[in-house]
Amino acid sequence: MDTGPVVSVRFLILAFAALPLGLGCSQIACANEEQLDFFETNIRPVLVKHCYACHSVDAKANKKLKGGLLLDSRQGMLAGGDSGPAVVPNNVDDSLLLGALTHADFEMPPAGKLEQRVIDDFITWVKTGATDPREGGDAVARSRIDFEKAREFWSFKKPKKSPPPQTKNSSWAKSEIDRFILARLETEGLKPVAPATKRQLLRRATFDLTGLPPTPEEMQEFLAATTSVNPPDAFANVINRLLKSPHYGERWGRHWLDVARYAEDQAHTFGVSRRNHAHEYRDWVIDALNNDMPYDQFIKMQLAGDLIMSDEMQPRDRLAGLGILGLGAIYYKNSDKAQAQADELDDRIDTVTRGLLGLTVSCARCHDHKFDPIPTQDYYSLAGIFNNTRMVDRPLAPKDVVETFKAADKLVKKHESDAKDYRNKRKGELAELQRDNITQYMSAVWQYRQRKAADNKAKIETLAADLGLEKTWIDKWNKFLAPNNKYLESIASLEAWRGLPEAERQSDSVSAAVATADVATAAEAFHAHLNYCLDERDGKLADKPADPLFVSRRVDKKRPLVDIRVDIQGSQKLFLVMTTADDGDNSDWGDWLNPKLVNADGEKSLLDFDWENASTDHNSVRKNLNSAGQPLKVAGKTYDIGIGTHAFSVIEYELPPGFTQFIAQGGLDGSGAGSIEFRIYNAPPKDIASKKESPEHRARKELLKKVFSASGLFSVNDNDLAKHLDTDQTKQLEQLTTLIADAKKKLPPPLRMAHVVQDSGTKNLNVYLRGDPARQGEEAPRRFLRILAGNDRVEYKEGSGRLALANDIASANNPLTARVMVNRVWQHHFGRGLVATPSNFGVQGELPTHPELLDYLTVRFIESGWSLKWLHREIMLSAVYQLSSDHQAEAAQKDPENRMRWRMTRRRLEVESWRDALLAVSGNLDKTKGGPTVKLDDGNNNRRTVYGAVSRHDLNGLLRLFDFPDANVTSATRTETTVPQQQLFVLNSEFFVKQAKALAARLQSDAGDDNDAKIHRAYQLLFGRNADDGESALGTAFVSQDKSDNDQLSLWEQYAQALLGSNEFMYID
Amino acid sequence: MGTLGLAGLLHDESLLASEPPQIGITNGSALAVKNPHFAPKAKRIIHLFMNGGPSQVDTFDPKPMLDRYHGKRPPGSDLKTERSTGGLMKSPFRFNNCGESGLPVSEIFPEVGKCIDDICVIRSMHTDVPNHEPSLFMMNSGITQPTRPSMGSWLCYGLGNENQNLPGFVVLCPGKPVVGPQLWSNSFLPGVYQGCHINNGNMDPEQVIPHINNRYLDRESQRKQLDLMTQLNRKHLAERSRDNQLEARIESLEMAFRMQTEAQEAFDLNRETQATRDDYGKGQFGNACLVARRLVERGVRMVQVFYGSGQPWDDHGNIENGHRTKGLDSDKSIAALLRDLKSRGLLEDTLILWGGEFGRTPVSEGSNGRDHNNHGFSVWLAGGGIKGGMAYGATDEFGFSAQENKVHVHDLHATILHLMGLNHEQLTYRYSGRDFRLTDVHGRVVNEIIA
Repeated sequence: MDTGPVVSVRFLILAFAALPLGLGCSQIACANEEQLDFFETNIRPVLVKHCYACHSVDAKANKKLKGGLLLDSRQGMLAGGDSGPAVVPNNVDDSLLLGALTHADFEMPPAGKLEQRVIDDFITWVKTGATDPREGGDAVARSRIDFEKAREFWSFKKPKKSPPPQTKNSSWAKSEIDRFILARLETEGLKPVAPATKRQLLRRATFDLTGLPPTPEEMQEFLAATTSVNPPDAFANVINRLLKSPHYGERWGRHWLDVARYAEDQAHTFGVSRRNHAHEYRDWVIDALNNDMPYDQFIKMQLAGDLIMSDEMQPRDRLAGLGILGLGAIYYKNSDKAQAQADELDDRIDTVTRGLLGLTVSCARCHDHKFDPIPTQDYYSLAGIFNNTRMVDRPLAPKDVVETFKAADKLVKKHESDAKDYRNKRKGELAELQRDNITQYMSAVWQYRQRKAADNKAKIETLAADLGLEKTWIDKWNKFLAPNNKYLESIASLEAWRGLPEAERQSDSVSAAVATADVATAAEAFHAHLNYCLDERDGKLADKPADPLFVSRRVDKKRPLVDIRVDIQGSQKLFLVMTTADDGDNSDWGDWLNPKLVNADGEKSLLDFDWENASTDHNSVRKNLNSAGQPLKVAGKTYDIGIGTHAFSVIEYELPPGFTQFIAQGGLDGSGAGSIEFRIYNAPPKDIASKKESPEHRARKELLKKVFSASGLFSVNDNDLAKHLDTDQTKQLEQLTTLIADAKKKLPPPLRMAHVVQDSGTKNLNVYLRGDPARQGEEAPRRFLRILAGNDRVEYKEGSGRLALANDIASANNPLTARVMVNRVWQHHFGRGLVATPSNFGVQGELPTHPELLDYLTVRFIESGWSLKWLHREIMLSAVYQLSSDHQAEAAQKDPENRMRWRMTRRRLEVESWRDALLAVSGNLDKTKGGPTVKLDDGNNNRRTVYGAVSRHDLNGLLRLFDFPDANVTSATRTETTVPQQQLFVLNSEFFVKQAKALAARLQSDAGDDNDAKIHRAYQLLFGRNADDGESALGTAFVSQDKSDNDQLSLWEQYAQALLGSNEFMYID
Repeated sequence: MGTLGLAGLLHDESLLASEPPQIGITNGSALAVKNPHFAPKAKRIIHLFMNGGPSQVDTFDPKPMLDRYHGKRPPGSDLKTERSTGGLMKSPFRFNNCGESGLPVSEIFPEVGKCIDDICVIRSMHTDVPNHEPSLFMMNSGITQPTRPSMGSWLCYGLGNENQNLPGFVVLCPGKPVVGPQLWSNSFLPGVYQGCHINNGNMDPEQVIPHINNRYLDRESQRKQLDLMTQLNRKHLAERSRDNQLEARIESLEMAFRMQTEAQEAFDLNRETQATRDDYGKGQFGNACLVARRLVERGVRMVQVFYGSGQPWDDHGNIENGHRTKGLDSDKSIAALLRDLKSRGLLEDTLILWGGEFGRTPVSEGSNGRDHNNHGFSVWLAGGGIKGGMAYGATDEFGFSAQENKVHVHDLHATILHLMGLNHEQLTYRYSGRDFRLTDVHGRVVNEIIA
């Protein structure tokens, strides 16, 4: 179903069932299938066949639209053309379309009146509401892409190696490239300018390949070599030397990172997942280029390195390249998650298709591409691949190394936690030693507040000294007892404390004295409560928990009744407990039937007594009714007397003295279906207390933690703890510490991690109609673009399909991939690509200026094994690369943009090269390679700019100022702006002045006190040449003038700054 | 460091058409004044951005029904917002009928109320998502993701700047709003169009623009140094005959030298009379409003004033306290700006936009706050080409969602561009094979509010 205007009925129903009401769509939403069927069967085919040629969006595009009337959408029909609405639903008379078909108003179609049967269908259709599912214009009325015709476009044809053309001038060309260039120049009547000087050439080549200036020594060496060996070899040697330099990858890696929209964060503010290991991708790219990784492999590793099995490759080499996807945009998802996810898929598609294929596939997100042969379905075929790919962090190490590390790390953590537990235990013990000083500390808090009220500068320290208490503990108690501490409200024993008048108002001595007594009382109440909590925990309470006096068998539907007869002689309390019989709470309704107490006088119903406490997990405990308030009923028999409840349940009685026995029956209530168990205790249940903790009990434990734990109100730090330990304890702690140290020694170096992707599914997406995830259309099988893969392309069934996609992109049969990269390399050598829109090789892109040359280089690039270094050599050894940037009036007139390459285009250094060059010539450059990102606004950061942090949220100011691309989207070319703020950076920034100072110092140390020598040295370092006499004189005059006393820079420093800020330093001839 | 584009000299991209040349540099200034599509009603715009989202029913869209149904949760109050909400909550504020038009304004804006006859309140705004970040992007760049240029960048691209020594698009915010610099990004437009962020937390003219001040040399020495640089550059240029980019940089250095004084002067509030400073009131927002006037007076195309860093108007709790404080704090300064512009004859061609990225719910969040609301909210416009003393559009009876004459943010953008003399469908930039617009494929000019 790739082409053809007729969309299946089923699809339409699906698509429009999802439409919201309103917006005039309700008739569609309500339209029944029969009406739609009628339209699809009897109306649409007629419209397509007889009307669309003159009344459709396509017709409009082809300028064949007649009468301003569109009949290919419902809106078009209703709006009508120049004469008015074509269709008025339910109104045969006003529907001009019918008038036209019947030849009453117009005579349509022009070729002749349709059969009456067909016209009747139209009348029926209008009468029954003119149901029409065709949504406005081009989105659904699918444009028909003629793929055969589309393949005729230059970039979709396979590159062909044509023989280099003959040229009139037979001496200029140094390589095949030159013959293509020259032939074209000759056709255009242009002549190339003179070659660049050797100095210019070395400077150009060095910046081009490494982003750094040549040193004076390298310049000397090259000049010497051009006289001793033959000049072409000397330059070839230079190229080889530069290509071997590790700085090559830093320079060209950065070009790639523009395309990969490399950054380490996201644009939004909330919930950003930091990308601390982003640099692994950057370093992988740099290394791959330094190693001249074949470009097809370079692509495959980035799209599917995790899916490529290779014994030779280390995990880092296989995985880190996936950062192009793993560092993709993550958008803010909260209310509109589906949209944000769709936008994320678009980020991957845009980056991959523009970056690798030079195709703007994203334009096909909402409708078929308006210019290129990319149907919307193809967009969602690719989206499906990325939709089955999720971002993950993975260690860059072999499995065994990862396992070893994890095990060793676990051990360290275990020992650390053991030691911590041990210390905390001891700290807790120490804290509890203070249990009887609580009143003192609470009183101290009161006193402190009084003092503070009287004197705002009052210090806890002084008070602590006066009272002989610990300052930090008073401080902690003071914070704990803060009036706004909501937690305190839940503690009943602090009621008196809370009721105290405000300390601040008690500064006069009389009321203060009164208050002090109240304070002590209030504090004592809390102290007593804490004592109770400790005793409870330690089982020292008077009514300590007990074992059961009786435990019944399991009571369930099969055996719903049990007799209970328990000796309770001497007991002061009685606890009737009902448990869930250990099988969970499952409709566990139970009744204590006819419960009685026996004494010497006989029996007494338990119901004559009131319970002290009664709890149940469901409903309530009720007398003579079940827990829901219905009659007690067990095994079909109703009981009048008893207690209804529901497990888990505890009912507590105070027993008057003298009772010896408790008698009852336990039954599963008729409303119940589970199994229960009856127990009798004469003290709080001990063995089951832990199973069901009361909220009060939990609160007491929490309070103990707050007051007495290692981080509580009497906590000591590790150092103080040591002082309090006895010999054995000290020894034990030392042992634990040694274990940690030993484990740490055995800990392998930390694992390097990378932000990568992995497959997460195999589902296809459906087309999102008009890009709206809520409106889904036909399914889009995962597969490659039809224009590139052909009409019988295969579906991607394996995993997400990423590997298959990578193979289809990085294929010699793909007409775009190699071409696009060759063009990018050309662009960075010449300032302009052979195709001036490097990420758009589609119809809207620029046509190549030298198509045969581009093809020739592409074919040879593939033949070279996709070697980028081969390509650099090939290009740089050409005469056209080695041209000067001289002006030539006639050529400039004819070809001002230098599209024909009659000269080298003068170029401004990109911000990275410029900053790096400033650092290099001042002697400050730190050439350390790779590793975590460094901040560019750190004045001490002398690393190359490629290692600086790149943010999507807040791009560094220097980068922003000098046209660094927005890393939220893939970037093919840098715009170049020249604005005064840039020059303010040159004139006034700390960074610039720092380099100026360093350069001045370097000149002094390199060339001593001789002005002339220093000036020459400066020119050699910065410009690769000596100063001429005029420049020398200018410099000498400048440094010889009187210095203003207000200036903080020496004249040499000012001079150095001027040279560094000059155009000659910033522009490359 | 905010960048920007003062007097940018970059390649002369063919305005409003086709892909810019990739390299060809000519001597045209990208910020030179460009002809609009038609006669503009406004030449410059000040956007008072109440970031965080002020509540419409507590400011400019009174809803008496809230008093009547306070605490109830009637049908229609289940619209999806960010968080869970309770019953309807009446406004804690009184509304007063103001001006000759008698338009009601909340008591937290007494002074603005006095200017209401110059103001058109749009009560039927709506946007896509009830979350700050996407909505901030929408209000600034017409899309919920960080991938498009901001309105200020579009305006500078379309119209240039009237002062070549100042940036065309200045953003004043003490600290940064949520999202931050991407809100004034040029995105794929040339860098010269990006917003220049001034951190008015410290309005020291020597520091507001990065590197504006030289701390090392006195003026005379710097002049000599610059002369040396120019001599070197001129000689370099002479040896290479014509090259516009080299010339452009030489000029740009001179401009930078001048900017040091001119820009510092523009931001120097000490040059204002005490009476004026009193009118605007003390504090960061008042200062920012005053700077905004100084900037538009000097021809800056767009000034955006964020009320504060983060999202100050985001009162999820205690609307009464929060909105009253911020309302009263900003009221005086906004009114002073309107009056000042008017008395200088600037208001007639300066457009003022007041509003947040969305509004707030008429139903409560917690006991006394309000949640985000994208379904309906208010902004107001004043000055350049706007009919004053009117309210346009309406929300439902409780103020939850826009019902009558709905205005999407795209429509607001279209209207603003229209007032500035630009057809929003024709202000396009060819990028990545396609013509982009601020309004994407949307936007309707709200002609009803145009004088």
